[in-house]
Amino acid sequence: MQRAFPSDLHDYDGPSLHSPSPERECDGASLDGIGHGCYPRLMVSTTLLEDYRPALTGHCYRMLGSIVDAEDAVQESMLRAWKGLDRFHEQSSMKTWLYRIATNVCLDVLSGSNRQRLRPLESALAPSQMRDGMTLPQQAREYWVEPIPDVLALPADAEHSPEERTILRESIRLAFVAALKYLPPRQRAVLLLTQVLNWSAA
Amino acid sequence: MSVASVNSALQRARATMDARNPAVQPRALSADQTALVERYVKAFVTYDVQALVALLHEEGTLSMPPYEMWLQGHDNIARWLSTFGIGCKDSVLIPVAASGGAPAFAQYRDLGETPWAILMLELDGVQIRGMTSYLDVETLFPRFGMPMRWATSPVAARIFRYRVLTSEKIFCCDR
Repeated sequence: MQRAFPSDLHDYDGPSLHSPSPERECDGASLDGIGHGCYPRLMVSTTLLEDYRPALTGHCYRMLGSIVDAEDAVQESMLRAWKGLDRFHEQSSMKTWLYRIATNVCLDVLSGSNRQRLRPLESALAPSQMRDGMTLPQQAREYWVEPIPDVLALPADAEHSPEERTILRESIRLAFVAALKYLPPRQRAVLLLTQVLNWSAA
Repeated sequence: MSVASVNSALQRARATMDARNPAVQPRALSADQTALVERYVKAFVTYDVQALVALLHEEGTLSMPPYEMWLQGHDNIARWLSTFGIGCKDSVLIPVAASGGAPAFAQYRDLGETPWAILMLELDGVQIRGMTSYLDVETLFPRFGMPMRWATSPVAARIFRYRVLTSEKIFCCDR
C-alpha cells in the first residue's frame, strides 16, 4: 500500500517545546500505541522511535551521502519527534511521520551548504601518472561520499517484502547515492520518498 | 507540496537520474565473481602485485579518499602498489557488509596492528573495475564494528604461509 505524500513537506514548522496537550488526555496507559493517539513520551522515546533508527539513517544517508551527517540528522529528527509527539495524529503512521521530520531535517542541512560530496573519481578530472616524489593533496572528510555499514542503514528484514528490501539495499549503493547529488534537494527528497519508500503523490 | 508539484519534481528527478544512469551491479555475485574476489584477496594478502593487477580491467582504477588523486591502468597501479603502497604488504582483510552488498573489507596493515582502510571493490563482469580505499578509519571502523587492532594468532601465522580462515571469513598472511 502506498502512503500519501505529505502535503506539508518542508512546511512543517517543527514542534514547540510547550505545545498544548492534544484534544484527549494521555493517561500513560495506552501503551499499545498507534491507533490510540496517545503516546507517553518517555516510553515512545526509548522504544518506538529507536525501532526506526536504521530506516531513518538509511533515508538520511541517501539524502546526505555521509554516515556521520546521517547520524546527526537522525538524532535531530528523534529530538524533534520526541518534542512534537503531542502533534502526532493518526492520519499517518508513526513511520511516515518520522520520515517526514527526517526529510525536513535533511533539507535544512542541505539548504545550509551548496557543496555536494564527491566520489574519488570525481575529485580529479583525469587520473594521475605515477612518479617518484609525487605529492598527494588531501581533502577534508566532508568532501567525500562515505560508504555505510549495511547494518546501520537497512531496517530489519521482517519489516519489508523482498522487493522493498531490494530497493532499500540498491539505493544505498555508492553509485546511486553519488548520482542523487545531481538532484536539487527537494527533487531528491521527492524521488526518494516516492521511488524508494513508495509514497504516493496524491 | 501539491500533487502537481510533486509529480513535476519527480519527473525532473527521474530524467536527471536516467541521464546519470549509475552503473547497476548484479545484486548477488556470480560464482565467477566470488572466485574473482577470492583471487583478489589472495593476491592482496600475499602482496603479489602482478597477480593483483592481472585481475583488474585495463581501465581499472585505484583511489584512496581523502587523497584527491586516483590512478588508472595496470602499470600505474602496479607501480603505486610497489612504492607508495608497499606498506600494504602483510595486510589482513576482514569482509564487511557495506553500501548494499558491494565487495568490501576492513583492511589492517602490519598483520592486524594498524587499522588502514575500508576497501571497496567495483566489479565489471569478472574483472575488478575499481578499488577504493577509504582511509578515514577513525570515522568508519567503529561504525563497521571493527576494532582498531586485529589480533592475528601468532601460532596460526607461523603455521600457514597463506591461509584463508573461511570459517571466520578472515583473510591474512603470516610473517
